Amino acid sequence: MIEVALSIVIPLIFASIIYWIGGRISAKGSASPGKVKPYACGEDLPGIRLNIDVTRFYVYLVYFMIFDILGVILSLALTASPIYVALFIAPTIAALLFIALRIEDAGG
Amino acid sequence: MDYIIFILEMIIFPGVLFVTILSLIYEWLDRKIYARLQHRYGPLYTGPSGILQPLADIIKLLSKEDIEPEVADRWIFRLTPIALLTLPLTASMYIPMLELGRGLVSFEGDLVFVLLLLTLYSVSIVLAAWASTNRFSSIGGIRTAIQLFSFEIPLVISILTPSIEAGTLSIGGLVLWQSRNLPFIIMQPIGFIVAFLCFIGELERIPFDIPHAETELVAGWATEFSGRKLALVRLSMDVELLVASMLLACVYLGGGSGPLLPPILWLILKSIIILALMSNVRALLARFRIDQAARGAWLILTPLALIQTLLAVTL
Repeated sequence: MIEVALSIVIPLIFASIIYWIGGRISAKGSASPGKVKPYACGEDLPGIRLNIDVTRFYVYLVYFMIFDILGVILSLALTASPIYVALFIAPTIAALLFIALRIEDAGG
Repeated sequence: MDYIIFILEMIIFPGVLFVTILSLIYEWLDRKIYARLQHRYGPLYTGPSGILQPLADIIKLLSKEDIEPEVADRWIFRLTPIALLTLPLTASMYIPMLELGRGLVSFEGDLVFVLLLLTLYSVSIVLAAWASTNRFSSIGGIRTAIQLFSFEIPLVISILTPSIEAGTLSIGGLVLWQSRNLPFIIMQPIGFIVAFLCFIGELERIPFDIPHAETELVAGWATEFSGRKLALVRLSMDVELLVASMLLACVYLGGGSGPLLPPILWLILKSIIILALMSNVRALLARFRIDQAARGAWLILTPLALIQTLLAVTL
């Protein structure tokens, strides 16, 4: 277990050291107007945060979760009979075809 | 004493320093192949044939001024570049380089752990975009999220299908199984193609470089990063490229198994073949739109991956 912890801590220290070295050798510029404004191709626009259409995003997320769980369950079905695996995959392929038809109906 | 040697291995060879240097060489190879396919020379002046150019780029970026936008979320903005470099470096420790059967660290199930680290990489990108508070970054971050949700499913299914056949969830176990039998690219060619395309999508390379499309989004989610932060981001992209090509080589091409040469040379050789394939795809194709990429991943790649799983368990 300590090996797994080390495999995370050592790269973390390595990355921090590069960051620290960068802080030591980097140029220190002087302040000028508009320097720390968010970049907007020269236009004077305020910054915005991510805005996600939550209702449509949730539908997408639910599909994502179902299929991600499918992947993990499949990988755990190492010793199961092929019939069970096939029975498990068939409905998901049917569901995918259903999504495909619905998307075509909705026109994109 | 054992622990000191183990920690030295983690730091120097085949750990963090070795992986970083090798990833810079991979970036050089990628740029060189890409340039030759476009009738250019590519990097030329720094070192023999320009091999030191990626390192020079990193050092140049480190010495540049580090500007933080005043509206950015300071702490997330500062921490995400470090997280971005840490995640693929951690993943590289689990790839069997010196021995066939195990990486520097390995446990039963490390394949799933490495996939998790690659997913967390994309999540960190979304966080970085959110913290930047910039229009271009925000759009780039949303596109990264859409691309993650699209390519994650076929990637997970096509990477885990060989492990159903081999009966193990560790990368080392897969490599050992392939050294006794055939490599999986011969038995599951569809799975290899799906995994290859999904890795291009996860790495955000052309034709799936939609999250940082230069011509429309400036630099996408990385727009506000400069100086040392951009250096870490660039380095992390190189390391992720190395980890992805080595993981694909381990899962589908038999990793370090091969005659005469030691495992690490075989692994590097096979991952360079995958890298060259990726460079060819990069030079060959133009960028897709985000809806085309998402639709293709859900309606073409996912069914193909599932069909491959079905074929693998029934045949």
